[in-house]
Amino acid sequence: MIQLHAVTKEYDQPGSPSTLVAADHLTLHIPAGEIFGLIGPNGAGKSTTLKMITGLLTPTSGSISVNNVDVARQPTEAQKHIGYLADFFSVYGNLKVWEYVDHFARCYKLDPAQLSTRVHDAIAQVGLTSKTDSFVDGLSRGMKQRLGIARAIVHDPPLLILDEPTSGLDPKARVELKDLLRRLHRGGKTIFITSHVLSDLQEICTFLAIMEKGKLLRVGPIADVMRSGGATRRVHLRLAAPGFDLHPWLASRGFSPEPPPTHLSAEFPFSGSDADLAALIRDLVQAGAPLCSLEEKSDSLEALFSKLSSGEVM
Amino acid sequence: MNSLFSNPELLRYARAQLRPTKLLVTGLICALLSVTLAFAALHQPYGITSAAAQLLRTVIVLQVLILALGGGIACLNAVFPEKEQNTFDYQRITRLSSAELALGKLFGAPIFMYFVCLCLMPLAIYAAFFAHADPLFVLAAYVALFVASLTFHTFCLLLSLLAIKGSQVTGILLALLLFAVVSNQSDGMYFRVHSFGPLQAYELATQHSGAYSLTDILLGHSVHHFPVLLVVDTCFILWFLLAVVRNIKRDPRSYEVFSPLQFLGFALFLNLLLVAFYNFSWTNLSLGVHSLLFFFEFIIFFLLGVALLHNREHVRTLLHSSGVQSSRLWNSLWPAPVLALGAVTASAMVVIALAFSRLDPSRSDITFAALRSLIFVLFLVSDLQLLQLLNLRPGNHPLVTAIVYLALYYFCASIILTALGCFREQARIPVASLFVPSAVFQLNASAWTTAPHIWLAGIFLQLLLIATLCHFQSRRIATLLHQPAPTPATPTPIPAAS
Repeated sequence: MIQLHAVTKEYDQPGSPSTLVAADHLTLHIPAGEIFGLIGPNGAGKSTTLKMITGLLTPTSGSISVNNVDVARQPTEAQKHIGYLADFFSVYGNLKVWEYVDHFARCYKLDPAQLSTRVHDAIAQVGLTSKTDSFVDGLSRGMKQRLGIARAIVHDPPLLILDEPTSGLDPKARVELKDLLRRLHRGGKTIFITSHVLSDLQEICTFLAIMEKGKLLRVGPIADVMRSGGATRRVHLRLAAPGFDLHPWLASRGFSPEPPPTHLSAEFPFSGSDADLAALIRDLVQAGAPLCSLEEKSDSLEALFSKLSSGEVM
Repeated sequence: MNSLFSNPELLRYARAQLRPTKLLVTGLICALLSVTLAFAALHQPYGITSAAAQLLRTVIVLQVLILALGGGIACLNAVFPEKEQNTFDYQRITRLSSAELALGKLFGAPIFMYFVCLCLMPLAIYAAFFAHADPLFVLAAYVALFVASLTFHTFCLLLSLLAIKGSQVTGILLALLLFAVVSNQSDGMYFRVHSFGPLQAYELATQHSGAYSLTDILLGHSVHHFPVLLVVDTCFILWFLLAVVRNIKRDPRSYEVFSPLQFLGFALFLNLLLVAFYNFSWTNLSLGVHSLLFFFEFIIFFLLGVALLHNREHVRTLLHSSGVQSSRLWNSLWPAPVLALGAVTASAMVVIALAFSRLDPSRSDITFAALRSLIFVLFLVSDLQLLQLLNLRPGNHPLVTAIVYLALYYFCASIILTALGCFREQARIPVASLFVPSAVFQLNASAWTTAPHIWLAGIFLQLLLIATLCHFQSRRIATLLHQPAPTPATPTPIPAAS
C-alpha cells in the first residue's frame, strides 16, 4: 500500500549552521490491510514522514508511492487513495456537521447522485448522526476528532493516515476512537497511525515501526518487533489452595521464580515454546498442584520503546 | 473543472457567511441607511439634481470601501489563518484543482461584501436617476469598481498565500500604502495615466459624454481611461492569479511566485506599462530624460528579483530532483541569466521608445542610454547575486539580513561619495560609478570624455564581482550536497506485500 524508498527530508535549523534531518533515507513497505503504528519521541520525524506520504511536504530526496502511484509525480491521483487527519483539531467552526463533511465530499468530486448518501454514511460511521445539524464549534473534542475522521473517510479511501488521533481525548473518547479504528480496519482500510499513547497502539496495531532522529530503529509485525527488542515472556501461576510447595518445584525444573507476595502464586521468565509451556502445566497438575490460574505477560510497548530509545539494544 | 457556482470552496464561504438571519439583518440595516440618505437628499436646499449627484458619489465611495477594502481584508484572511490551523492542508490534499481552489477563495472570501454592495444598489440607482447621470458611465463606474476591486482581492490573496505570519502581511500593506502616498505626490508628472484603483469608479460615475475628462496618454496618443483601466487591471488579475494557482497546492517551503519564464513576462509587462505611459516631455535638466525610466526599471527588477531568489531547501530539492551535476551549474549562476536577459530586454524597450519619442537629440543620446542601461543591468545582477549568495547561508532570516547589509553598504557608500564631492564634480563622477549605480544618472558625453577608462573599469569591476559571487555560490551549494550516512538496516525483516 505504501512504499518509501530512501526518503530524506532535511530542514535548516533556525539559528544553527547544522541541518536537521527529519527523515534519513527511510525505506519502508507497508502492506495493505494492516494497522501500522509509528512511534517515536517528539521531533523524531513522524509527522514529517506522514506529511510526505500525503504529498503535503516534498522530500529532499527519495520517492514515495501510495497504491503504486508516485506521490511526487501524480499527487492528486495519489491523494485520492488517502484520508488524512492532522495532529490537532482543524475544523471550520462556522459550518454545520453535515456541511463540513459535504464540503470535503464535493472537494473530492464524489458523484453528485451519491453525495448525500456518502455524507450521511460517513457521519453515521463515526457515530455523529444525532449531531448532523449542529454547528461544529459546539462539538466536544472527541466529537471533533470523530468528525475529522468522517472527513477523512468520506471519499472512501483505502488508506487512512492519522497523526496522533488520540491526543487530547478523555479515556472514554479514546476507547470509542479505538473501536472506530478497529471497525474501519475490519472494513478493509489500511491505517497508518502515530500516537504518544503507546498502549493504544499496542492494542490495535498489527505492524509497528519505531523511529528516532529521523531513522527507523525497528519495523515489522508487532510480535516480531517486540521479540527483536528482547521482550521477555513471563508466566504467572496461582494455586487455589495451600499445600503444594510451588517455588521449590519450579526451581527444581530450572526456573527462577521471583520472591512471591504469597505462597500461592509465582511469576517467572519463560523462554521456551508454547509446547514447553503446555508440558510444564501438565507436569505441574500431575504433581498435585491445585492450579487455578495461569497468565502470560509480556513487556509493554512503553518498556520496549524505553529500551530502544536509550540505546540498550542498539 | 467545476463551474464557478458549484465550486465547493465558494459554496463553503456562502454557507458560512450567508446564513439567512445574517442576510436579513444586513438587508434591513442597508435599507434603513438607504431610506435615511435618500430622504436627506430630497430635502437639500441646493436642488435635487446636485444633491443626488453627491449622494451617488457617496454611495460609490461606500461601496468601494466595502468591496475593495472589506473584500481585500477577507482575501488576506483566506489562506494564512487556515495554514495556522490544518484546514489548508486538508484542502491541499483534495482533488480540487489549484485553479478551482484559488477561484473559490477569490470569490468566496469576500462574498458577504458583495452582498452588502448589492444591498446598496437600489440607493445608487435612485441617486443616479435623480442626478440625471449618464447610464453608460454609471455602468462603466460599476464595471471599474468590480474589476479594480477584483485586482486588489487577487493581490491580497497572493499576499495571504505567500505570508507566513500576519505581521508580514501588515508590513507589506503599510509599504504599499506608503508607496501609494508617495506616488500620488508626482501624479501626472512622470506618467500620464490615471489610477487603476477602484476609486476611479467615483470619477467615472459623474462623467458625461460631452465633457469627458478622464484620458490617458498612451505612447503619445490620447485614450479613454476606462478601457485602459479594464485592460491593465485584467492583466494584473491574470498575473496575480497565475502566481496563486501556481503555488496554492504546493509545499509552502517550495513556493516560487513565478517560473523564470513567467518572471520575465511579468517584469517586461510592468516595464511596458512604464514605457507606454511615461511622460517623455517631462523636463528636468539635471537628469537625462530616460534616467528615471532606468531607475524604475531597476526598482522593478530588484523587487521581482528578490522573489526569484532560492532558499537552501529549494536548492537542495532542485539539486536532488534534477540531477546534481546538471543543476549545480545552473544554481551557481542563479539568478544572473534570467535577470540579465529581462533587464537587457527592458532596457532595449526604453532605448527604442526613446528613439521614437521625437525628442531633441541633445536630450536623448541613444548611445549613452544604451551604455547607461548596461551599467544598471550589471549593478542589478551583482546586487541580486550577492543577495542569493547570502540567502544560502544557514541561520535566521538570511534574506532579510542580506538586504540590510546591502542597504547599509549603499547608504554608507553614498554618504562618503557625497562628502568627497563625487556626485558634484565632473571629474569625480566616474569614480562614484565604481561603487554605486546612481552615478550613472550623470553619465553623458562630457562625463564620459573626462575619464572613459574609469567607466570601463567600473563595468569590468562589476563583471568581476558577478563572477566572484557565482564562484562563492558554487562552493556554498557544494556544502548543501553533504549527505548524511544511510540509516542502519532495520533488524526486523520487512515482510513482502500481502
